[in-house]
Amino acid sequence: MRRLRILTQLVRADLLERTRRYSFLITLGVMVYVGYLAVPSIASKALTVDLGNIRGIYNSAWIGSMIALISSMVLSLPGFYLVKNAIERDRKTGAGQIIATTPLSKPLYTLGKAVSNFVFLTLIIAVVALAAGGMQFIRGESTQLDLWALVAPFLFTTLPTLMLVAAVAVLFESISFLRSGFGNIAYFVLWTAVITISMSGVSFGSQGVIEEPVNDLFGASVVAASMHEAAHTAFPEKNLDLGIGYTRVEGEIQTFRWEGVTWTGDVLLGRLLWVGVALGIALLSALFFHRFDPARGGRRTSERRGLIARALAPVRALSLPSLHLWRRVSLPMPPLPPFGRVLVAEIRLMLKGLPWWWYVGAIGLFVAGAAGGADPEARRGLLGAAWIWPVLIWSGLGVRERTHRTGPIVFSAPQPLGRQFVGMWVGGTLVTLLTGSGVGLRLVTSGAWHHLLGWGVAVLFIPTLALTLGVWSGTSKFFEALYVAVWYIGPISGLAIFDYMGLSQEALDHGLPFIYLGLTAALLLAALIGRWRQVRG
Amino acid sequence: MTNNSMRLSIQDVSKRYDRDVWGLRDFSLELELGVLGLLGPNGAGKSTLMTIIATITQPTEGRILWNGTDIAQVPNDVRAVLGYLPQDFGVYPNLNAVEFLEYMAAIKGLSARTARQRIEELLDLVNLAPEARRRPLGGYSGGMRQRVGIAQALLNDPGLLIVDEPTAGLDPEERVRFRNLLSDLAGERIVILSTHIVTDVEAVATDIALIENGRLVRHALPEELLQAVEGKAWEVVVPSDELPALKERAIVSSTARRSDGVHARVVSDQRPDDGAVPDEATLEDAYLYVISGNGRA
Repeated sequence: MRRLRILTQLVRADLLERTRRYSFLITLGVMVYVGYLAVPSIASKALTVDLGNIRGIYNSAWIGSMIALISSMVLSLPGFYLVKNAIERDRKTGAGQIIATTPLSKPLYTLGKAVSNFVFLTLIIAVVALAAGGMQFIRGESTQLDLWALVAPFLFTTLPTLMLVAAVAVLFESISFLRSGFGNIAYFVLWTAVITISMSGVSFGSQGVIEEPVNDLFGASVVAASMHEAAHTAFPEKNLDLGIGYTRVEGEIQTFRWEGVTWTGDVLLGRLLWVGVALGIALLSALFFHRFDPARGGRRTSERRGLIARALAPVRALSLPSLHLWRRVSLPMPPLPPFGRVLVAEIRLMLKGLPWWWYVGAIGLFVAGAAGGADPEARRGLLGAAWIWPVLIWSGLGVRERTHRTGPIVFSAPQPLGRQFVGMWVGGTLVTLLTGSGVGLRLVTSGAWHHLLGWGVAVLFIPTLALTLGVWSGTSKFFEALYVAVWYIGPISGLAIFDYMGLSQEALDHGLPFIYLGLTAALLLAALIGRWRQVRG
Repeated sequence: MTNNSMRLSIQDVSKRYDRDVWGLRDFSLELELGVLGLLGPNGAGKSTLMTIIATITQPTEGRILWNGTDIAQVPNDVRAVLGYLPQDFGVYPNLNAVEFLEYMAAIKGLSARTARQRIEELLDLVNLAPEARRRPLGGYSGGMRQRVGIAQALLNDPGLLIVDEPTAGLDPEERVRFRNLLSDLAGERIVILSTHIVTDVEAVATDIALIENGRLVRHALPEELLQAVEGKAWEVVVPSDELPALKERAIVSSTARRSDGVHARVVSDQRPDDGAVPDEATLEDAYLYVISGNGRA
């Protein structure tokens, strides 16, 4: 009983703290809008779940399932970043030290935090479910409200997914090297992999949908199998295809009546499996959670004591300079004019504290870029790698003053915009230029001037994007998640519109470097306004 | 920066945080060279006033003039001569003390030579051991970090020095050292020292402002405040079960339990008890007396 009360209080405090933030309202707004987009107007030729120009009538079952499915996929990405601060907040506010002195056990704490994360995400989904009911009447194709058919998909597809997201967030916060920027990027990679694996089992074949609950984190195969069955009965002669996502279709859209998934014991067991996994992860987190021990709180100290570091300890002792020693290396301040000194100080701030292997990697990428940057495919890989390498440096731009609480002393210095802000931006740009200079050099020597233009625009665009998002969001997470997503879709996967590096011929043909140059100017202005507001208090 | 004509004029300044929540109301004060001790209970508005003077935030009403220039309109004039130590501030954990101060010197616009010279001087002044200066700030104790904070505030030899709870986290020896430092600095600049530690103010303040609920309650010289409670400080010995009743009818500034009962220090217009013995008034007595609603003229 006492444990339950502790758990309830943990959840309550977190929930109150989170729901009183603007980010909560913004997320609610965005999610309700996603719900709105998930049910395109009857007159439009748009579909979000397309069975080959066939869709279900917009009844409670169809709308509930569609929005639930799309919500669980969409919210599982930003939802993680929204809740990955429960332990961090206790650490920063000092409440953690107080908690550590109570009899609260580590498993109960991590479980409590996971439940707290889950309740918060559930609250968002509850509002989305409410909006889904509204959408049924807005579209008006079926006005008979079947509450169970509407809500059940949220309960059985969305909530287990979110429980897992909630628990993974706690795990990432408990493991020291996943706690900060690296963890944010690692989650994006994990999320992309999970989406790919989950959706690979949801395509329609001659035997319909094969339900694989072990692969299907989002519960999509359960819903798709049921839809397939109903559609096949309604249109036995048609070759059914499945597409999830907003698409515009040609020709007439046919409809059929679908009454929703029959939530059998087997189906529920498949979904419960993920709840079990989530609880397991939450409890597993307790193994890594250091209970706010200040001696183990520091990232690097913990890294040294981490499992991986322990395994590498003998190698480190034999041949590599110690991290501690490396951090003590002091870079001298050269005698420069005032702005030059601000610039050097900013660059030093960006680079100080990076592990030795970061520099080794950067030098390696420079050499590889200079040697092999002429070939378009090699260039994609090399420049892509060179410009993901400093992501944690960029994500600190515009955020450091808040993260390290130096804002009051930095902003009360003379000309905080003309001096420190410009120094930070130029510093970020120089870091970008240096890390991509291997390929840049190769582009110059091979006379690939068009590509050099794209490269040059990226040098300006990347740090400016980071600075703007940092200043306005006040967190490094936003840039880390967004940049990695755009980097993956654009330069790496080759979608021209997001190819801000100008790697593909298509991007150059469409004049994208100029568009990104204009965007850079707009972003810089936005960052300047944001910083001006911060300085003005 | 030494200038006898320095003047900070705070004119009817108010700060509203929410519709009905005011951090500061109609606050006016004229300051010239010397140390102003800003005293008030928690939440009185001390930090709000400090952040407005430090140009971190804007007043909702009123204005502050630095040598006749409105600091909200032209903040760089005051920023050029400002040293600010906030109550709650952070440092960059991967930089060492020298690098952090070099960074701050650069953004404050100090020349390379001046910066180098000042940093060494200041690190000596705040008693930061040479071997500690090259250690990342992330590993510093609270007191050491506070000393780096004090050093950064003094980097540009400020004409206006604002220090908010500066001795928090310092050990007694360092606290005395800092108080002496403030006294040494006082003649050439305006120093605003915000604290709830009355003994800190007692040691260095040339004048005192008492603030409560966002309003200026009293601005006076320390001796004027002491005069307000002259003959009103008493020592009373009461049985411990009578202490609550004494607290009900008089201001009890301190108590000590002895074998003959509780020795209570009382501030009261009338003799609080037949056995009460008059005692010499302290600034703490005066502070409690004024804050409890007396002597606000």
